[in-house]
Amino acid sequence: MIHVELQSVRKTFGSVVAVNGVNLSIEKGETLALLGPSGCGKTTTLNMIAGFLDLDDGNILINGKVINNVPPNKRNVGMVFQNYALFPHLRVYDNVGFGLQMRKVPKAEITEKVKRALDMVRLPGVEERYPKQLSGGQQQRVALARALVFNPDILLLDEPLSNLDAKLREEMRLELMDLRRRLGITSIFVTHDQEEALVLSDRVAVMNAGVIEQLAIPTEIYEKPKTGFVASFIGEFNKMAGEVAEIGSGGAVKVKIAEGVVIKSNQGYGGKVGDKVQVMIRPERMRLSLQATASDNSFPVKVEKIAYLGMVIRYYITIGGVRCVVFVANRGDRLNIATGADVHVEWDNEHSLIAGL
Amino acid sequence: MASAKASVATRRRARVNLLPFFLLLPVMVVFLAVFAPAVIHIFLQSLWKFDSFRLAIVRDLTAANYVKFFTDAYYLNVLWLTIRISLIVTGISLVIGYCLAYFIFYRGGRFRTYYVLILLSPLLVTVVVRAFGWLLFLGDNGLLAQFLKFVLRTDSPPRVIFNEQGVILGLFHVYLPFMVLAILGSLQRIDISLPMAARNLGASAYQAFTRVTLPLSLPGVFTGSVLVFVLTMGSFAVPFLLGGGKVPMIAMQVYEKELVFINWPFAGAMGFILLAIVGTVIIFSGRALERGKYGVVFQ
Ligand SMILES: Nc1ncnc2c1ncn2[C@@H]1O[C@H](COP(=O)(O)OP(=O)(O)OP(=O)(O)O)[C@@H](O)[C@H]1O
Ligand SMILES: [Mg+2]
Repeated sequence: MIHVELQSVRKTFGSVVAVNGVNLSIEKGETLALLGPSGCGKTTTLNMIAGFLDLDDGNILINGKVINNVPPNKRNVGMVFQNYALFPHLRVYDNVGFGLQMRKVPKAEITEKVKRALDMVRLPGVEERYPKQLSGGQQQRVALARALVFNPDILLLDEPLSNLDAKLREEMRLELMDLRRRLGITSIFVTHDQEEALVLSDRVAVMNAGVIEQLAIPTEIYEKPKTGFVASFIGEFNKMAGEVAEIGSGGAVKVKIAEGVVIKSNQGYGGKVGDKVQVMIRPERMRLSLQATASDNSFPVKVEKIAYLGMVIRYYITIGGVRCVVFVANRGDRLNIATGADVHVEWDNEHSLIAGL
Repeated sequence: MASAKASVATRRRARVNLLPFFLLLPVMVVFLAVFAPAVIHIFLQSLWKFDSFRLAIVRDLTAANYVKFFTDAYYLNVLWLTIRISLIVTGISLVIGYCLAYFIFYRGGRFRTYYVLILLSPLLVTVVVRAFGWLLFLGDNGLLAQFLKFVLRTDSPPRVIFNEQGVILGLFHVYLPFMVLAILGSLQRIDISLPMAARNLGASAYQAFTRVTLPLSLPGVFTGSVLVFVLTMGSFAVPFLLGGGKVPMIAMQVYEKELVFINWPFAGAMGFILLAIVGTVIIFSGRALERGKYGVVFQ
């Protein structure tokens, strides 16, 4: 069942087009990530769903009903703000209980629900404190408790983890995953952290300059990016420009990058021989070996530079005149490859993605 | 290790706290060297006697000046009048000033700066000139009187000047900008997402204002009110020019005793009573707000 739907939603601020015809539909209980670079219209989209901004064009529907003119306080949508927006003049108790007080819930019930909400976010017993007496991570939990305590239909989160340090972010990410699974609430969260989007959501909408470039499940976003923007935004890619040399059966394609360098793919290509295309290969799908093997793609290369990052080691090489990088998981064997070594780079057919130019 | 860290922390904090002190030092030196001796002198004088036959000060220590002020119905009336006018002016400026500040900040848009400039423009003209402006406008032959004469078809239209209302109007006009500026300052410090969060949690626009915006702007309300109250309590030119001699506020009395009757001891006593009342009001209202429901916003 479709719970939230955006139909050609558009919003401009003066001459700036913040959101330019966004279409989205979110199933009941689904978690959708809005992922995109700074200024692409993520917060604007969220603010329109929450009712803080009027639309210039299009419709927003909840449960099939257009809610464009419903004021924010009547939407029953919980929101966690980017900076948490906890009321500094109120204790945690009144912060979390605010939504219940507005709904005229009896006092005893508020106390009970606030306690349960704080237990849920693993922050029991802080009712009497003021927000500034809490750490960033604790404030984040209070903001979450406040947004969930009144049983909203939809939960909106604007970069909920961006203000936390790396370790805490990891921890809160796991907790959010767990919470989401337990509550099964329809949620939309904004992030510009691709890892967060992939881990936390059922589907990811990649936004760029006010439009959604691709809306798909995380694995598809990563494995089969539909546009060049999505490909470059999520993870890394080695990109090589070339010319289609041969189109075979079963999706087999050969692309000539340079004299003597022909890359094989089995990902299919809709055009014709002679087209200028781009071949994209994820750095972690490439392998380095000391001897040539019978791989689909295998080229002799020289290691030009090595960047040791701990968990992975990045090897810089050149294929057909194009600088590429290969990620190798650090298994402790260090491969015995030094800068300047002659090695072979190889990968399988299915990892060569082909995109039009 | 831990204690070493702690001492580094305290040292750093101490350094931060000393900076304002050094910056204030020149002012404090001037105050202590020039102002403090004068104040002490006036205070001592207020404890001396005044011989009204010889028009001379007699250096006998006495509390008579203070006793007289608090036992004489006339002076008690002056005090009550001054406090009453100050409270009324503060109250009116607060309500109207808040509305103005709110409008300028939330509805002003890109004209915000211009509204503030318009608001401040009267401060370029001295109080006396502005009072004369009101005289021209509201006086017996002023614009308003002419208009009322014409509309009400009478030769003696109701007067809005040379009485308490006139003084209140004049004081309100003079001190309103201070109130608006103070409230504007505290509205600016409120994170815009806070009222949004309130709306999101189910508050109507009115509830978001009363539960979130208003409490968070209380420091500005307090500063503005204290400023206006203190300035009104000590105001002299406006009641003098617009009161028509019928609104004897305390500062006028000090002036009269000092320069007309040369009774410096009594004038000094009145000055100190004024100072004490204003000081007490500031301290106690501040304390009350800090201990109140939203005390945390004052920390
Ligand atoms: N109130 C506003 N007035 C004018 N322009 C605005 C306003 N709010 C947003 N914009 C503009 O609209 C565009 C989208 O802004 P938005 O806040 O939605 O970006 P975002 O994707 O949330 O970015 P970030 O990741 O930096 O938070 C930006 O170009 C921004 O400058
Ligand atoms: Mg944003």
